Amino acid sequence: MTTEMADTTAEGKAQQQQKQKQLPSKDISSKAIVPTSFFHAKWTCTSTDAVLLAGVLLVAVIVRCWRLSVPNQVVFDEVHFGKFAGKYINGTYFYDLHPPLAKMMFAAAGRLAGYDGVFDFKSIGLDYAAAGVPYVGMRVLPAVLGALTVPATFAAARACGYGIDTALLASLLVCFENGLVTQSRLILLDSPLVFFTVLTLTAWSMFWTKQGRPFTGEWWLWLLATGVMMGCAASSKWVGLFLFPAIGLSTVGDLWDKIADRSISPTRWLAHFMARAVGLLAVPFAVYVFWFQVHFMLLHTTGEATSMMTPEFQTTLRGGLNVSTDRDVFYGSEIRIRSSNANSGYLHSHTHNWQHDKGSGQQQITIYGHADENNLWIVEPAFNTTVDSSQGPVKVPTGTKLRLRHKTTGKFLHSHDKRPALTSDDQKFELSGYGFPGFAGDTNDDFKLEILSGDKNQVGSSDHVQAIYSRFRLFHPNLQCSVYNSRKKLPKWAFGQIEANCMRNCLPRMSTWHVEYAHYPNATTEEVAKAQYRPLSMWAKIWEYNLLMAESNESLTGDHPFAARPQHWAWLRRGTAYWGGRGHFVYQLGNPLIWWTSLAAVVLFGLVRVVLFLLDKRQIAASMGGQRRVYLSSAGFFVLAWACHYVPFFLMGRELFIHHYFPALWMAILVLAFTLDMLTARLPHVVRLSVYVVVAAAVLHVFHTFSYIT
Amino acid sequence: MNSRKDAKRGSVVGKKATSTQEPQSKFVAYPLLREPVTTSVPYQRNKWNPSIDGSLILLLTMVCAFTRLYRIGRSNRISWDESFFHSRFPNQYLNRSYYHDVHPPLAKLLISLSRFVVDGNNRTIEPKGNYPPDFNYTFTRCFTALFGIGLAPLAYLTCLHLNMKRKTCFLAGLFVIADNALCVMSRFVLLDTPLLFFTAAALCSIAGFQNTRHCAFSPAWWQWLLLTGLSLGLVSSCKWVGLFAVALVGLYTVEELLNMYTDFTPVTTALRHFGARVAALIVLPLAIYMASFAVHFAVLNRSGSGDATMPPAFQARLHGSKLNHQPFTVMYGSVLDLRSMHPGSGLLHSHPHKYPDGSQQQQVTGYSHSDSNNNWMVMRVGNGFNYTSDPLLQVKDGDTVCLMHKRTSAMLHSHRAHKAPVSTGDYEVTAYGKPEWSDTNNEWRIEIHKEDSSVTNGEIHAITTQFRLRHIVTNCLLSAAAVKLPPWGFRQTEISCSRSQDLRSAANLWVVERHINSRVPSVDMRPMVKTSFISNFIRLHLEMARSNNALIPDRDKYNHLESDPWSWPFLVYPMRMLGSWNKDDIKYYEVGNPLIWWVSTLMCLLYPLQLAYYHVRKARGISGVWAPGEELHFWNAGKLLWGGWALHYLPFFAMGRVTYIHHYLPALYFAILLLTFEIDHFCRRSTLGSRSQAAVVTICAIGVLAVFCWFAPLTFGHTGSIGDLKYRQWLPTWNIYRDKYAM
Repeated sequence: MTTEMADTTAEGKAQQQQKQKQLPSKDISSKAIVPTSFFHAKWTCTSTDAVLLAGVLLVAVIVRCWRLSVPNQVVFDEVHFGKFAGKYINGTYFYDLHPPLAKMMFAAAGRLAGYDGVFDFKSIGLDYAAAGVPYVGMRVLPAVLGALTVPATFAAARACGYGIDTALLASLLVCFENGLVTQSRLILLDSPLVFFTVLTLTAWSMFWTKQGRPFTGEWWLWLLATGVMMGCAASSKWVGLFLFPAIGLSTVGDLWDKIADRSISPTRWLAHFMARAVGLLAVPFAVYVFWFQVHFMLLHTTGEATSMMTPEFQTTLRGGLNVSTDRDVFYGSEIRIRSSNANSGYLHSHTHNWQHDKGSGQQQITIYGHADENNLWIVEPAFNTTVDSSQGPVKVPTGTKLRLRHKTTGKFLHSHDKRPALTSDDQKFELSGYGFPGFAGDTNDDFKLEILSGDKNQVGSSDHVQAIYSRFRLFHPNLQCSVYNSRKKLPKWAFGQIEANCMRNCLPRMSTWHVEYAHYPNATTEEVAKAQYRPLSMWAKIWEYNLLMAESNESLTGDHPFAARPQHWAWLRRGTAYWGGRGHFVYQLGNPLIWWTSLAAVVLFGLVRVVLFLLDKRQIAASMGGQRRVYLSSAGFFVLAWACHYVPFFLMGRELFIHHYFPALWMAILVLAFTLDMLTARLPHVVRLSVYVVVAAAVLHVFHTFSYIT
Repeated sequence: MNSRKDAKRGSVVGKKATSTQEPQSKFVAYPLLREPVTTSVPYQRNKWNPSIDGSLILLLTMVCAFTRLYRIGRSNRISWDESFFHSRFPNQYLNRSYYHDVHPPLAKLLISLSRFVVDGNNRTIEPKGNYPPDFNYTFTRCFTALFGIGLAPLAYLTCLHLNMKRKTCFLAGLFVIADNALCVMSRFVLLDTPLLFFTAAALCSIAGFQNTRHCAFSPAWWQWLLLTGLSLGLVSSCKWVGLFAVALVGLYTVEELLNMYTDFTPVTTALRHFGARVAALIVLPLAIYMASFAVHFAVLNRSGSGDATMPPAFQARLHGSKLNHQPFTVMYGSVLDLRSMHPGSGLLHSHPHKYPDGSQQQQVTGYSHSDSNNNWMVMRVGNGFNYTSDPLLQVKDGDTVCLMHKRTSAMLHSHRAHKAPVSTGDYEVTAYGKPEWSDTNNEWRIEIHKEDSSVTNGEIHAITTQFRLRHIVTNCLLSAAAVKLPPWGFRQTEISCSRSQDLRSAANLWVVERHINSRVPSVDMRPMVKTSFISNFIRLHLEMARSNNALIPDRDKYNHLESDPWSWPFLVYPMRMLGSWNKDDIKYYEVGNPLIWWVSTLMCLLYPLQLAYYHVRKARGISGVWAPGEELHFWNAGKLLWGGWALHYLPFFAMGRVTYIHHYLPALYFAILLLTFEIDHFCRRSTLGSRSQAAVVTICAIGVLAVFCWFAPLTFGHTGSIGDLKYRQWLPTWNIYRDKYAM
């Protein structure tokens, strides 16, 4: 525990070492072998603390709930999250790119307040009162969660080893931060996210106060609380995942110190390691999975968004896809071909022609999400070949050339050296429907069907095409290309359907297809083998959903007028307009005083750290008036957490808003309070208190100034 | 286990170093493992021994030369990127016509030089198919192979500088010789071979510099310092990957200077050290780098394919450029091509397509290619001027003008009513109306920003005058910030009218690139324009960065050449160096020596763990097994080798551009030396006697040489059916025999 040398002897020691002319840090570990990372405060909640906790909670509740019913219309993203709450209540399946917990909390709040799930939150500005929606009840949830972060801030500061005055100041700063207040007055996911993030770090600070007595009940309690809260934060929004590097890095540092600590035996070290692995990895993971499981249980009925998922997923929903089809595909069978990737559809054609510049003007081939007559194709032998079906229907083996005739229009699936509608790439060719009565066709109608994988449990599904079980590609031998799902939306003249083209050298990812429906019209026997999708297990469902979330997050680019890049967040260049009407409006804008000073505090910490590093290198003791240990460990951890919640956004291409900064803002606010404490620690008590009062008054004034738009 | 029990009881701990070290410690140490009885000899610095080292280096060089040169001229086909580096770019240098490429010029200049030596400058080699029969391509291949041959002696020297035993130094050379990928890459005319050589030279010099740190400012010390700077300059002038070597040396220097600070080095000495490093490691490399570009500009003095990437003033100085001769002073009635000063924005363009939203008037865009849709006629306000018969009238600073799109006769127009399609803070710019209509929204004021010419009289001159176009009604500036339009705008760049009054921003500045007016005589522009090397240098770098970032892979497409960085150290996707893989082709395959690749990767992953392990042991007070100086040696050598590997490998994960397996080769070189270092370390720390150590080294050498020979047909070229080479496919992902998705 002797991180630094005691003040009195430090100088003497430094001189001694100077005389010895040691060459420190030349070899890998010449530095003092002592734990370096954390100071363990010892705080237990006293009755004064309890009274103050209750007091700040009261103030916070008043601030958050003041005129909660205004505006009485749908504001900003309440459009989405109010609607999703309704879907939970109705049990209709939906897809959203955020994890489920926060949305389910709103659903629960709505249920308690009497919301029936009918009002659809269709657009910003819809009137709640007219529709009789108990929106105040739903808004109470984020307000209460937001209010609870204030006493949690108090506890976190106390647990980090700070006095009542600093803890009060910190909670005050959080309480009167306009941005956090706005955010927690509306049905948005950020209030639950910030709540769980704050609770995680509070629990983690509490855990550190118990470091002196490891493996006791309280120690376990706070470790597990950290894990559970972290899991909940990640289940509210993926931003919560940034807690893992923050807490992970501090844990690694701690374990690294412990491994060098000779008072801890290897077995005991292993116990420390395992306890943290369970508490900080396994528990959050279990919590995350648990909430997903609840989510799937609540959303049991199929809905609009079902087509986003794979067919295997859809079959797990009530009223969802329930396919039962003939298993074997023969020459002459009618088939419906589905792109095997999630969020896609069937190979489709209709009596409209291509209209793009370099196209052929022949009939369109698209991908369409709904099963209809225009998706049906008939398997026919290749151009100038015949198949003898007189001995009964002939199965289609892998690697054979065949033609696909569109049932309703009679045209063949065709490809040729023309550019497709949405790309000028010379590796891609147009697909069209071609042919007319009296014309036998040509070799450009031929496609080679190559099975890429079969189903392990279905014998022969890799050799002959079987509906659902055989996954294949359609290879065009003349052009050396394969039928490819480009995932791009065609213009209005093709009804906004998805483009299909023929691409050279394409990977199976977007060129794998399977037959979802097969029927042989001239079947002679009644007994035919059937095929159906195998429903997904829970794990597979969660995995698929999360992959899809990752994909949608990545592709979420847009030009929302109030989107903001991270470099503009920390200094609050501008906010987000949420709602406006009848002379007053809601504008998401932080308390500029807090934003700017908290950023300055973070920067100051960096400077102090560098200076201390250089001083330490020369063995010059800088104890910072006895504040060094407390300041470095507490502010150090929160600066680390701040960086983990801020820096990764710079790498993200997706559309970002200023509210993504809120978790980091909370951490910066704590750093600000700690910095003020460090700066005023050596001043007389009266001066210090008056500094605090002045800061608080200034913050209150600024809060008041901006409160009319909050 | 015994020792742990003993320790727990706190009783006599036996003859362990742990307890004897700190007998008074109140903690009881828990050793992690039983300690071997050490026989390691005190660590010593290597001294250059002319007869032994000289002969070993000679031997390595000869063997290496054999593997690199053996039948090097066998395939007369232009293989892999030889089409660029042996034909296309040298053609340009020999013709002296300007071109644009993502790589710095040094290596390409060297290759061109060797082609010039053997072939003169009057030939263009077609960049595909076979070399012409009378062309001596073998000479250039031998020239680049020289760099590959140099790698083996450099590896030996580096290890010698890192104070490894001579056996293992020799082994390092053998490993380099026996890697099939290094071998096959140096048998063709590519940039990677010079790059590798200079990287290895930088490592060798910095290791030598580290080894002479005890005699600072001695001639040897200066020699290695300057050689480091020299190699850094050369390596970064070959390919930007060389900047990772710069980073390695930079980090090393920072650590060194920090140590000086800690050691209370006197300020004057420290300043001398600092100054020497600034001169040798910053100024010298930068000078070399810029010199290579100076040569590049000096050689390429004719107009060529890359003209359009450079500003008009630069183009006007190239021989044979269309911009050489044109009318100098712009008159009313002149037809102009206007170029934005913002890189990548292109020329002011319009075409008969409408904006889909907003005003739905005719689009105005920025387009980078020369085209008659870029022609704008400058006109006076009002109709009372005859442009063919009235006396010529100069366009002056502060004039109000209208610009008519020549092909569609529409006027350059902006209005307050509509926002620009992408930059929604700005106003939309359209082509609208007819010349004879009077519309104040068509009026623009000329504001001259700068006149880069000998004539400065407030008139607009072709190429040399930079000016702004201010929309009179809305007071906004015609602006092009290289923002791409959606597909309806054919991915050309957006032109908007910017409300920000940023008078210096390049986006708001325009120059006349081409000037057509039959009534004004043309003049030679070359004496009129001024260009500076520094501005050309910076502009070229912006363009290089842009084209580098534009090399984005298509994730849906199977490309047997590209591979992702994660796969490289495990040699998952080797590369065919030829497109056609038929029976009669001489087939070269870029596959590494799997033994070397896999084991060196293991070592790279192991080294940090090893470091942590030693640290923990020391922290727990178990440090008796290091020979004097050995611990320091472990850190000093390891940090250079492992750091070099990490710096040459990890950054690729952050790159969005297309990556190939030979991007790993510099990192592989570091990994090979780290592998050698670990073998050396193992020999020192083990209980093996000298003879057994020699046996270990011999076994390693025989192993890698055997694997090298096994894959040799793919390295030296295989004719006949590829099926003859049985058992060469060691991983299912290798495409030696057949390509799963190829079509």
